[in-house]
Amino acid sequence: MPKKPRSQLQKLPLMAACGALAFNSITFPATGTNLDSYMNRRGPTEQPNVVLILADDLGFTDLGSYGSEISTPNIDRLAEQGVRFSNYHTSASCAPSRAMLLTGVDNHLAGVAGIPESIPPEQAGDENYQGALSNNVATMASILNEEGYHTYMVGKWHLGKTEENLPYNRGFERTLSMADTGADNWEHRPYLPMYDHAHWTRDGEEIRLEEPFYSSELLVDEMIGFIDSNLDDGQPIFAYVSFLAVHIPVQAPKEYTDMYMETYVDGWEALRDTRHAAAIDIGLVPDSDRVTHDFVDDWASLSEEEQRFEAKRMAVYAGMVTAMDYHVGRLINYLEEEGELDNTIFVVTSDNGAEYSSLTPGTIDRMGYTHNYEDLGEIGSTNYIDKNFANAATSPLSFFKFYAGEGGLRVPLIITGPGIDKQEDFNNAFAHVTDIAPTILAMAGIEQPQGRFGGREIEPMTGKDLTPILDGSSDEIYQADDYIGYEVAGNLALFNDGYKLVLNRGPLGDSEYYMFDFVNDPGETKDLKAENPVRFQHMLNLYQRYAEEDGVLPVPDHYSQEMEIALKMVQKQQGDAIIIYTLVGITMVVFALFGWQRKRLVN
Amino acid sequence: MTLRKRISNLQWQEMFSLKSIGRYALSIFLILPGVLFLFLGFQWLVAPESGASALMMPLLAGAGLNSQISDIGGLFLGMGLLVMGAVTTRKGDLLFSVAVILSCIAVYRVLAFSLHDATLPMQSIALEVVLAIWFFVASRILSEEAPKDA
Repeated sequence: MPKKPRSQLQKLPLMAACGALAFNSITFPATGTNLDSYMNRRGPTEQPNVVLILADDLGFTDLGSYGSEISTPNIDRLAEQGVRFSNYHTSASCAPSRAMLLTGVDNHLAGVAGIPESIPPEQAGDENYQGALSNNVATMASILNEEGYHTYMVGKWHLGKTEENLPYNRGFERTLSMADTGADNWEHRPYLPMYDHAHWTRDGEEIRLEEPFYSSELLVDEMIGFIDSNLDDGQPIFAYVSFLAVHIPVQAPKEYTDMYMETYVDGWEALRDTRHAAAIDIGLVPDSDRVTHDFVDDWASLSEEEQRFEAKRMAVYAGMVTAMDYHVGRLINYLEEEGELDNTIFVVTSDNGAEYSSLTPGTIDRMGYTHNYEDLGEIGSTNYIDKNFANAATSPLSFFKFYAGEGGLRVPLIITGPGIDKQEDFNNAFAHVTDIAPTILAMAGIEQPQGRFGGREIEPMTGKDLTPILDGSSDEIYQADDYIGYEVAGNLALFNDGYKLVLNRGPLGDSEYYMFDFVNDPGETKDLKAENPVRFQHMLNLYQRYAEEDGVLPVPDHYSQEMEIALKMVQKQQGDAIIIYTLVGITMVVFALFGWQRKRLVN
Repeated sequence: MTLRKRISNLQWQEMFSLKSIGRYALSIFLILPGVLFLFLGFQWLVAPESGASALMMPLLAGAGLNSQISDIGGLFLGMGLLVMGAVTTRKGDLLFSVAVILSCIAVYRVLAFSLHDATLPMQSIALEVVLAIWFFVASRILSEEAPKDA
């Protein structure tokens, strides 16, 4: 296996120690007492390993420890030993979340204002809208690697496909990464016609995966292999496991799907009810209302056959979550067997809320997939959940992936490991995806770079260190004057002092501003803008400030993220078709000229 | 001078005789599958993933991908060129070659099913058999008319 050459700093430990000390004193001034407090609490132990587990499109109540009927015993075991956040927010779209997660910087400043597939031509020229990680940010992997960590990454990357943007060149020593929004979980193939092929790379080189595989199993196998290859050299590990589960195509081994064949036969409304009740019961949300969206279909209006099919779709989804959990368990067990578990911090979260999808029969056919009840989600079969079950997967929150409702933005976050107090109840402190990188660096005892890293200027991390919450020394990190802005594809939000300003565009949103008390009303049922116009205006002003500071561009009139993605798919297909028809036409003309000339000669 | 004036009455009669109409019809029914073959051939070059998907196969990588594009794309392109060449030159032998290739493909499909448990794509076989028969017939027609044209 190719090994990435280590930096000069790492080859010469003694020089590195001296050099880093001197360099740090200039470049990395001490930034506060949180780090000291956390490190003092841990004592003079070795640096911890860090395992960052990122599920794809996992809804707010999709984990057992978050009130779900889905079995996730291994992740629940991590949750029991550490801190479960009830008020953690990310982006409603995958690439922006991943950019913020890895850099601690707002997605616009990191060059990933939106997923590249949805950026309209009007914005595509702006540096914030490249859809790939800019060079003006450093990933936490780069920083950890520079400080002596082995850094490994497996799974979905989605922060750029060019060589310089692959994870192998963004701080990870060893990688098995997939650059697209998703890919098939069983075979090396794309899942949408907009992709030529599934862009899997190993250590920066494009590869073809041996088939068949199952993505969650493959990724954990690969990660265990990476860890195992350097386990005895004493260097700590940063392992980023970025699952394809449960992104479309929603696929699972049959035995996992079979676990849920009878679970969803009462439909999405019943599931949303059940999960809401469970969320209140376990203290995940206060006893509050939830929105009933007009766009959700009536389960009772479906025929028995349609209900059976929809229930199985959701069963595959649940099976995919359980399969992912099983493989997380394998990774935990491996670390336990190797004696590394006690020195390993786990961070488990999702990139955004549950995804609703819709594939036309034509697209399914074109991709060579089946979509039949019998083998749904198995090899050769594509599957997805639509807006109805996605709305249940985010219960009791409003909306889901792509939308700035809490269902799109609020997801599970579990942090556990050495130095982290076990907290029986959910921690209700506000936390944001940009906080993860600063927190991991703090837990590793590493200061954040201030303005420069790797010989270039970088955006400083704007996220906050959550270790005071993790060690129980503080209840809140965000103060009343702190604000967090959010914008992707024209859907926007702003969080400040327990209030949330939100606007969702079509097709499911109404492009109107609302203001909610997102702490006591997480379901976003009571609009407060008329009741509190002064605060509403203040929130609008803060959002404007955020948009100016972070370079948020307005979306074109009538822009729709879904339509833009669909348009790109059509353009991709039509672009190929135009070239093919042109070649056919040229050939025909050549033959016609030849025939005409021949006829003239004969006559 | 207009085209109409340039063509003698005799030529007009020849153009609209039953024999001529038959020749045009034959050409059209040969050009249609010929265009299809050309399309598939170029599709493998421009968008191999679509070509693979149309044939219900995964797209390979490395040397396998090279073989897929060259063998399958070349096969379709070659057949398309032979058909178009036959239409242009009125040489039946070219169509006979295409008919032989299609027949071999259909036979191999059945053998793959019998010997190796491969899926039997009945629609594809039916299309190949129909086209092979049509090309055999068309090659005979072209061969019969060739001495008169020569």
